[in-house]
Amino acid sequence: MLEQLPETLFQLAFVEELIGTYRWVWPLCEVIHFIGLTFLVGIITIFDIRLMGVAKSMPLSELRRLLPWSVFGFVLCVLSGLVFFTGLWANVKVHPVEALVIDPYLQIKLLFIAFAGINILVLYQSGMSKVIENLGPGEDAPALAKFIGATSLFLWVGVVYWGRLIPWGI
Amino acid sequence: MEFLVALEASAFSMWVKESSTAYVAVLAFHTIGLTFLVGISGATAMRILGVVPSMPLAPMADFFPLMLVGFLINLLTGSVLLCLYPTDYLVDPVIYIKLAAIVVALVMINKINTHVFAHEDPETRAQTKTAKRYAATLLCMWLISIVAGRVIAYTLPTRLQTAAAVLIVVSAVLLVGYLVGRSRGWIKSS
Repeated sequence: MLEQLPETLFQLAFVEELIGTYRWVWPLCEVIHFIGLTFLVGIITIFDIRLMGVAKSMPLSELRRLLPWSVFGFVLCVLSGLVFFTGLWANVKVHPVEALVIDPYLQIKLLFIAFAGINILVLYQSGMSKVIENLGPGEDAPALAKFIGATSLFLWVGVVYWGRLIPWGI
Repeated sequence: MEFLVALEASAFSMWVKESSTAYVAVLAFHTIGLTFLVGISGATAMRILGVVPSMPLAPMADFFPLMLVGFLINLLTGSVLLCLYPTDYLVDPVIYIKLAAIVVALVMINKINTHVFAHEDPETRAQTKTAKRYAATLLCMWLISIVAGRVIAYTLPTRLQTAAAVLIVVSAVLLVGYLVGRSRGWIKSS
């Protein structure tokens, strides 16, 4: 299906021009991507392992106030990731659509992000989010919440792992 | 230098470089270790600096073992990466900037541990200027180590331009964050 898309789809001329003209744009985006990852995965990890039963003296209702910073990290990763994707041609002479077709690591990373998103939906739809909201110090999360936390940790660590491999799949 | 050449040509280095999976797996685990180490210590530093003040500080210490796991992963994978191309890396000043920043960051984590978490009332200790100075220094050191780690693959002009661009972007984000925080009452003037 992806092979039938026009190969210049997702290419942005102004991003390619920026990358081609200013050599520092690509490494700047790499730095932003890594900072985003530390916010995103670092804070989600803290939240997930608390769900799984570590640091029970930390009230989950307060710990979740830290989560907007993981959203901030996600935004940094998406913005810098879009620069990599839409400006890929300027750096490695590969069309974005071609990368989607040939790079298994990119495909797996995007799948893991999608599953992580579904996992967050499950957290809210199952009502676990409300249960967590009321969990104070010393209280254990229900088994389903622990499972959601473990799944989240696995998926986000996987996102980092497969994401790091992307340059070797192109 | 002979030792470095021998290390670079050693059976282990050659195996990692020639393996289709080992080299990229080492790189990937280096990034996973970074998210654990920098993520957990960074979140603790941000809390000391006043982010989410309602969140109790003392239980953050229970997450430190995972931070240690992240450090050990990075120590191991970082040592492997250094062994692969020591004749390039160990003559590059940027690697020493990165290592120095990591050493200072680890010292800051230790100082935060003894100054704040070893005390019977971490909340009060976190309010001190000393604790905030340690936390701010820790975040700066992690930023320097990430930038140094990323730019190592580039030429000197690109390295300098990238460092300047990061400085400008981070300053702009901090300024906008401060102004928004002040206008919304999240940051109170002392």
